[in-house]
Amino acid sequence: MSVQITINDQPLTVEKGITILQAARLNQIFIPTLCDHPSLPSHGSCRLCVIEIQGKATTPTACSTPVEDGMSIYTHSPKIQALRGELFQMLLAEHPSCCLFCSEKNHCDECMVTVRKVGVTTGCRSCPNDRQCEIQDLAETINLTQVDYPIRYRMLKAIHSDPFIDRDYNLCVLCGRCVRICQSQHFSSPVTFLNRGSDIVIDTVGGRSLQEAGCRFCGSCVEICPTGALSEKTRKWLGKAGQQTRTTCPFCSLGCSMEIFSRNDQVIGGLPFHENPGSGHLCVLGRFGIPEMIHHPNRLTSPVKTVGKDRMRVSWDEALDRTVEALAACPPGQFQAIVSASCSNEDLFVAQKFTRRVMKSNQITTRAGETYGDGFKAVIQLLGGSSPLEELAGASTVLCLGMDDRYSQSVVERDVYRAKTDGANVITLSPRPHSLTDFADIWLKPDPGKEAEVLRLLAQYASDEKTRLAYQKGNGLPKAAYAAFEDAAHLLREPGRPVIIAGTSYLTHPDNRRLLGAVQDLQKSIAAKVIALPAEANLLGSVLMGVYPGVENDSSPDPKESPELDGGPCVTYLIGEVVTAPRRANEVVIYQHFISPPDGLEPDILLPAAAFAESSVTTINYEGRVQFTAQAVPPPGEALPTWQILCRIAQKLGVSGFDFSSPEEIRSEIRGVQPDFAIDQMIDRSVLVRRAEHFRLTQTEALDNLLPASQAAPPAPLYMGFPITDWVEGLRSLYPGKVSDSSNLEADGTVQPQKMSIPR
Amino acid sequence: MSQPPHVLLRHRDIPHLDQMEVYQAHGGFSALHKAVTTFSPEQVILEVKNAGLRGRGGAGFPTGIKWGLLSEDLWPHYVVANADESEPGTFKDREILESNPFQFLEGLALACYAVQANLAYIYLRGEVWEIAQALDRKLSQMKDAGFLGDRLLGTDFSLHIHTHLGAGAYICGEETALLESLEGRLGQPRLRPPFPASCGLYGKPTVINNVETLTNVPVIVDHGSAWYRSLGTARSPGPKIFCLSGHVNRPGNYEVPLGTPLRKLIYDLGGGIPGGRKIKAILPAGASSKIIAVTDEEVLDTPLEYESLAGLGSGLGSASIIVVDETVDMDWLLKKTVQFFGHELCGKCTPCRVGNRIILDILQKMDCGEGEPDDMHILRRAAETMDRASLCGLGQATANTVLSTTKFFLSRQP
Repeated sequence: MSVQITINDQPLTVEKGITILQAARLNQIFIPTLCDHPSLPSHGSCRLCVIEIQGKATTPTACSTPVEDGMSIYTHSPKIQALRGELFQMLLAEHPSCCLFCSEKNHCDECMVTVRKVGVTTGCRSCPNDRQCEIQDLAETINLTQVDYPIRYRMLKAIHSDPFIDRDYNLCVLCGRCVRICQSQHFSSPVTFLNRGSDIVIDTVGGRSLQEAGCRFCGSCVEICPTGALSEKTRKWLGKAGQQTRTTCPFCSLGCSMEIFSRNDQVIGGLPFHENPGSGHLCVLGRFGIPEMIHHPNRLTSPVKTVGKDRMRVSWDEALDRTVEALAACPPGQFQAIVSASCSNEDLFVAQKFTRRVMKSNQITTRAGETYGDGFKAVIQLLGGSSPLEELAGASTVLCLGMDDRYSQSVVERDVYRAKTDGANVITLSPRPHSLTDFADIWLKPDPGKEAEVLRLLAQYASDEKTRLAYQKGNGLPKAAYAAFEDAAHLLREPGRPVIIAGTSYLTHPDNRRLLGAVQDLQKSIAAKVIALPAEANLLGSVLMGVYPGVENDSSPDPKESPELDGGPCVTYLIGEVVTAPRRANEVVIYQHFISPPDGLEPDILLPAAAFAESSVTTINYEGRVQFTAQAVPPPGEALPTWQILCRIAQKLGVSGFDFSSPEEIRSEIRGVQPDFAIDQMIDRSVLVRRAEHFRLTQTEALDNLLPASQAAPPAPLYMGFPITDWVEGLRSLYPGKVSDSSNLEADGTVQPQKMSIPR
Repeated sequence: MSQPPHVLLRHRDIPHLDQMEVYQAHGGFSALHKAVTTFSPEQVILEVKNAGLRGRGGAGFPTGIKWGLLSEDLWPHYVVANADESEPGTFKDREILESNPFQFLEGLALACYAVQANLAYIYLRGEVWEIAQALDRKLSQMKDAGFLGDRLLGTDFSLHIHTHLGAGAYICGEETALLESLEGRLGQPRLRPPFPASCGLYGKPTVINNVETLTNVPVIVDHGSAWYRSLGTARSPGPKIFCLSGHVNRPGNYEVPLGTPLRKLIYDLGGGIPGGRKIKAILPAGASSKIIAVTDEEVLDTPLEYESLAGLGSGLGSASIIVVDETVDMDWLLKKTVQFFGHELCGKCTPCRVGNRIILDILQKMDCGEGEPDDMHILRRAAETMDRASLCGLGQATANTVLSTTKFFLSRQP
């Protein structure tokens, strides 16, 4: 159905039922608005979108008035422009406006004469949103030059105590966008309207911190705020971005699409990009963590050698000579490379080729062996069939396993919430309370370590009396919880589309082999879709590239011999990974990373690698999609991309086949063995599942020692061997349990608060 | 002076009407019984339409038409009784709820039957929790007597009524803010459209009626629309309770037919002005009125009905007549009124939130003798903007007061 209207005498045919504002936007007619945002329902509080409809005496708002056939609308008649000017003046009577109307404005850029003439909070150039502000844009389009009304400054104290987000509600125009975006995306209200009348403000109830109020720090509110009221702590004085680069978040296997903002070769921030995966959302890590990580003071910017206890900067030539010397002296069986499963495909491919061709060894691995133990095959098998998160839309029942972390991967939580509002039943299985337990329809609460039994029972569930009694005896559920278990079993069998999410902490659970076996049984018995979400950004890529002994990449077969490591000269090559195992005799440790090694790891040679956003490479996410990570800034100092360092060493050692000059050349060689490897395409994951058969990994610690850990709060996520809290200050208050710096540990094991340094 | 029997304030004629037996002995619930067992819902709506009953909450929208607007495609329907009576100078619903509650509840039940709603809420302001408790007892009595519950009076129609207390916010008398509050959210008005008739409580078609409006319904059903029309005027039929307050000798609620002249209400019923002083102004609809200046005695001959007061540039509203005599300083009245609205407004939309503060700032400045020549102009500009662009009627209420006051009084000052 469509209707005929005219806007400013321009005849238009628009869809019935949309608002006048939507109709105008679809036809590129500009109507000033402030509270309205395309991703939110109309709110109608700023009233700036008033319009005139021919034949009507009133001046309704365009955002709240649906189009009607034959409507004749005027958006900029003199009457409307006058009214809009009045409304905007009223708004500015309670919003600092010295950046808009200043007699010195035109000379300001030239000589900055006015910077000291106004108070800091209301200062013209000291607003975090200066020159990227919707109010400034509106003042220009409405062409306002002064405010006639008596002005008021709210005199509220700016709030600087939350991680990542600074709030100065003196700049707030009460459009409610932040409140509404949080309600519509997270179905929660950390901040809300408080008080009434002209005292109305937006804040947390009772002045709690954002964290106490349940904020996930996804930053949607900061992004959507039209003023400088909400600002990013680390970015607030960095101004407008010079360059935007579309890329992929590096911190977990979700691979959310995002944009990196950079200025003068510095990454200043990141925003979600409205495309799958992630579809316009990031969790706290990707949203706020990237600039602090990339520009961390501990970045390795030049090669370093260790002499005794001292570290010395050296030239690349010297570093490479020392490396080559150590490698040349190392017999094939004595070399091992440990790479990170968060490295890019290109880096991993070159690393395994290097190990197999140059070092004639098959001793290359990631730390997946420690992380996943003997459940690794099950993890890869699960990932081989992992469905995309979009499956949650239209799901009938969602079973959440191991989604204990309320901050990282909060994108998933949002999709679960959305599924629930669309009618899905949400079941969560966890021995301890977490963010979903307040929200889920059913919380299955087994004794710690009994999760696998509960899952198996769910898979085998049958409703006849005899089996019921059998279940009740000896399963992992307390008797009182049995009713909930039964409800869950029924819900999972209701006609519809059940979805199981296996979160990070389930995949890495000490008992994961049995757990994931049970998940697979359940999946078969109820025909569910499974979404598996490992922490490593490129776990599938590591299997595809073959960085495990026995998992061959066709281009470079495993050397036959793989003798045990014993005495004699030996080399451990750490690529983007941290291993603090006791040093063996005569061991040379080469450490290639973008950050200086942690205490306890004393490598002999340190090679500076490029970090995320410093090279154009690819990763493979949880659903098997090859994703592109674009270069936004050059690597700092003398740092080089990992693959390039490896190629240089190989060339020095005189081995051919390492003359890659760009990541694209590596990709074309990968395509030679893996024809479906192409950016933005899905790879055939059945290959990976077959390869997983060859894993030779063993559990490192006894299961019983590890089980109590499942009761603890989730630890901070790891990225390339480091807890991200090491780099990102704000995260330390979100993950208080995990402080990697041993200097903060007192003798009795208590953790002392970290010294806070001033954010850059 | 002989007063005809009351229609709405019947308890003034019949003692203990708030007791079930007394109410039933005087014909109580006969209308509900008759409607549910012999009328179709459409017949009830038609009867109310024919009676010409108009909403007594302030807007004066024809009640029968309102009931007929509900979407037949979306179920369930809800009925909400607006008992959030908080307009300064308005105290009529309170008397009904306290002394003649069954007639109101019967009217509410009839409204539910007319729109086939099985669930109704009575939204009361938080301060009247005692009335809410009393109403709860009356509701359980009605249930015991078979006038509430499942399969009412042996028919297929079921009805349940709940009371709900607000938290003391004037804005929640605005019907969409009331719905927000009833749903458990912040009491701020919704955007319209969609109107409550299509998307009201919990997104379902909803009728929201004032207590007094609903109290009229049993009478209409009982005696028929023709009898009802014999009261009042052709355009504004029926009886109306006027809340008379301010400078009168006998303030209180007076039930008179619509169309009664103002003079009769103030001088005959209200006993005139203390000390025989002159009337300076009249606020016909409580604090949110457009103030009528009594510069001419003829104004007092205006019949009290919706149209004639609109002719004076004002409106009947909830019929809360506040009489202001010559001793009152209009600047003071204006400031008090704006302070009231400044305290009660929700703060959602810019013109109302900021406009009120601006007006108050200027009035305070004038109060201190620091007024500037431009201030009157700015005051009127702010009020006009509020009037034209506010989200709900509250913003217009302040503007009404300011514009009507400045027009008559302040314009004489420099």
